[in-house]
Amino acid sequence: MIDAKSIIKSDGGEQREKKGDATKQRRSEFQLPRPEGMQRELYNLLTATNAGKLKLDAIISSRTKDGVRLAKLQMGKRPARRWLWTPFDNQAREDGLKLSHWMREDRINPSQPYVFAKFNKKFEVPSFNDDEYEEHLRMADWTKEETRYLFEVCQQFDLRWPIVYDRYDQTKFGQRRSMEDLKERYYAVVFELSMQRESAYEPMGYDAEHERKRKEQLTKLWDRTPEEWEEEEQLIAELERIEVRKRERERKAQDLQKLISMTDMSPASPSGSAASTSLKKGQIRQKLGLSSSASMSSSFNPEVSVTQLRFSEFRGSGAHLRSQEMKLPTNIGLKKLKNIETVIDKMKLEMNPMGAEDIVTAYNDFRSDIVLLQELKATLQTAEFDLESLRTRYQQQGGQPFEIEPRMRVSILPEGGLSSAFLEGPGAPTSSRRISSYLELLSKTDALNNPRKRKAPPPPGTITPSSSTPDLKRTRKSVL
Amino acid sequence: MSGGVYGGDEVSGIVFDAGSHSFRIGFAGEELPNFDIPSVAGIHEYETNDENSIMRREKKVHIGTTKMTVPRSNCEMKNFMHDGMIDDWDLFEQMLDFAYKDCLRTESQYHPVLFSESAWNEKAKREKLTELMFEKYNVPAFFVVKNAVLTAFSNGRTAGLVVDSGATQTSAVPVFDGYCVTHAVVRSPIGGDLICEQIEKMLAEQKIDLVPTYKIKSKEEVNENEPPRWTEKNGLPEVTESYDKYMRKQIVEDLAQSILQLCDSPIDVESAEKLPSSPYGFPNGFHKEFLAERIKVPEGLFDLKYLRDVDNSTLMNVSQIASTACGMCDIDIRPNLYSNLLVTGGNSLILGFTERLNHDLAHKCPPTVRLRLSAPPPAERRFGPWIGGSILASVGTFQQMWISKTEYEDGGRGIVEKKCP
Repeated sequence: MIDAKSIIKSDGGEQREKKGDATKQRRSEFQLPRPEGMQRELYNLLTATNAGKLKLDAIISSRTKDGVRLAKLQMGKRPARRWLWTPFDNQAREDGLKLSHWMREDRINPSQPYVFAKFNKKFEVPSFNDDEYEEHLRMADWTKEETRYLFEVCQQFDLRWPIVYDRYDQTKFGQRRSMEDLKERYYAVVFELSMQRESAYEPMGYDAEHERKRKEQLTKLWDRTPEEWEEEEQLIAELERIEVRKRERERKAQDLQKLISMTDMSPASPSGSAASTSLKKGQIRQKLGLSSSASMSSSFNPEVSVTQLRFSEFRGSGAHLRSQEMKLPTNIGLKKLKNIETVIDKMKLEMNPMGAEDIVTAYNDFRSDIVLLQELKATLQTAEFDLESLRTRYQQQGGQPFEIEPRMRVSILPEGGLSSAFLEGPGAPTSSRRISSYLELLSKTDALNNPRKRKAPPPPGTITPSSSTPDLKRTRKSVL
Repeated sequence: MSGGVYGGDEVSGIVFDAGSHSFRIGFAGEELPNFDIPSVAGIHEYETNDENSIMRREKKVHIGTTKMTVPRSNCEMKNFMHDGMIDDWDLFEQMLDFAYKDCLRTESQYHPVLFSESAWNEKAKREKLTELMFEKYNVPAFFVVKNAVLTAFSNGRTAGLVVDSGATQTSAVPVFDGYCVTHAVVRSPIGGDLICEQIEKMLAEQKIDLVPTYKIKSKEEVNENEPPRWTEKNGLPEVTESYDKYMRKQIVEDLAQSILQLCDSPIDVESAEKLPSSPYGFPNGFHKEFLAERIKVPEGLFDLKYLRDVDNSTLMNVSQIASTACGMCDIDIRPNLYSNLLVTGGNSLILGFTERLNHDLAHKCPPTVRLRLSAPPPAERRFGPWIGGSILASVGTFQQMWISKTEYEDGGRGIVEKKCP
């Protein structure tokens, strides 16, 4: 049977225990081990704690002379000094008005300047005499009187333009002046004067037109209705989307460019050499004429090649077997591995040749090329599908049907190779064998496993040219 | 120099703030005005027999609540202010005499005087005031400041849009850098007096008899909504209509202060019905709980449709006033004005006034604008301009700005235009 009392008691007991532990701990924490010879009572006083804090009232000395009364305020013993109502001079005033204020007797010092007089800062508006005006300061539809009046008002209000404009008497001289007119005139005069007086003056230009336009624009911005704000937000969102798509396109084009450049570089060592191939790359770039090519060329780095296989480099001292250099890197995906195997097999080559230097280099390059070829094939296939879908759309919209040349197709390649008809003419393949037909690209299940981290091109079976999904839109733009 | 406040230098100036409801008087450097006299005075014309038994007409002016509210025959109540400016100069002089003699108990020649004025004050009036102070009262120094600027100072700012909702009008005055933008001042004659009128109409509709206090001899307690039982005082003199009206208005003002409330947003009928009721006991013993009228009456300030029997074609509601004034200013200072909105005036003490104004303005102005309404506590809101004047007149750097007697003598009364912006 559970007794309430026992529950309560056990809880309290626990707490008490804990608290006891805490205090014991704290006591020892106070880093005041009991010094030799100190009385036990004194030591307890010093380290006594009250909920974790030192009880200092045991240590602070107190006077018991006054008992519990509050201590009397300690004021100075001398008699109170007198304060006199004294008139004072204000240096900032010109008329000699003597106001009075309370000053302590011993602080009265007539020669001392008034403390606040130094805050009388005035902004000095330049002044001009008549001759200067006649010579330099004439301006269309500003008379001398009006200019003088303007300067007077500016001086009165310390060049605070909104107030100057407000208090400027528009009817006095007949013409209605806007704030920009006033500022224009003022700054023009000041500029002229300073040019005349000191030639080394930096010109302070005031562009009235710019100011007017700026204010007009600000006013328009201010007066926008909520519908216009909505519209603007939608437009900005639209712009964001367009930018994103553009960047997608650029990236795709970049990838393509890398692929292309790979083909030029493969005879060379894995690190690539830019010099011999840069010319060809330039030509290719021109030929491609892809959109946003400018951004591409700036960011494209011919040295870096992602598509090449990186074989394990043996650096450092120590002997190693050359055949180890032929070892495939461990990070290639299953697909590439399989394709390499298939090609070597079908070409009736050895899977593991002997490890002579030339053989090793050639073998490694060959396998890199296979990988490259696979990627090129994939890109070409994507492009082909885009072309197909475009063709269908074009035909749907009433254009003339056209056939895609078999040369451009890569998805349906005869395994046996090309017919000899294709071997004629410039730019034709040199043999009828088609290695790329050996290569198998991504299957349906493999759609997400892309080692190159590129967004998967739509799998062959699923694409329907007549649908207009956002995917299609994206790939369509990449072809353009 | 008297220490104490940083930057302060008390020269024992006097600050006068004349309003349509009351006249605030006090010494500069103080926190609140020492005296708050109603702007209405009783002018009593009576006939006396002097020593030679000749009938003479005498006129006596009773100023101050205690003297004014005594029922007398032939005593007209008059307000010396009209349209926010001093109108009746004789009465005003009497007020000043009363102020110096009975309130401040000092002589005018020893104290510099700071006066507040409305932003639309006329040049002639300003000059007349200057002349009066220097010639009659012999003040050593004098200065006039626009009350909107003073309100801004009392809130610790030099710029902002001052929305002053007082007894006779509500105005919005933009202040920039310590100066008023006079061409952008917008005002409309809606204010506390209009609210009182609306309440009177409402009471008349509900057939509530408004009996002023001076008539009541005794009353008995009745339950709510029961007809009141009270006895009239006998021997009352034949009071004038203006007196009676004034006394009734006092009750209405009290009623307005107790029960009115404004809704945060334009009201809808359902929430108006759900509002908690507020009871009020009239001087004649009548009790009533007010429900929807609490919110409908002040709604007229923000939504002119709720004003009864008033031609609202020329009126503007409070938020319109504020936004128009702002719109008339230069675009560069507009954000500055919106982020420094200052509410002042006795009428703005209605519960919910500032929240409602905030809400309405937030709808009117563009969403990017930062709107910040600053509403000081009630005591400071009633006496906003006076407090600003007190601050100004006791600050050390102001002492060079006074118009002194010598300057007045040299420059004539036109000096006030030059020196007081």
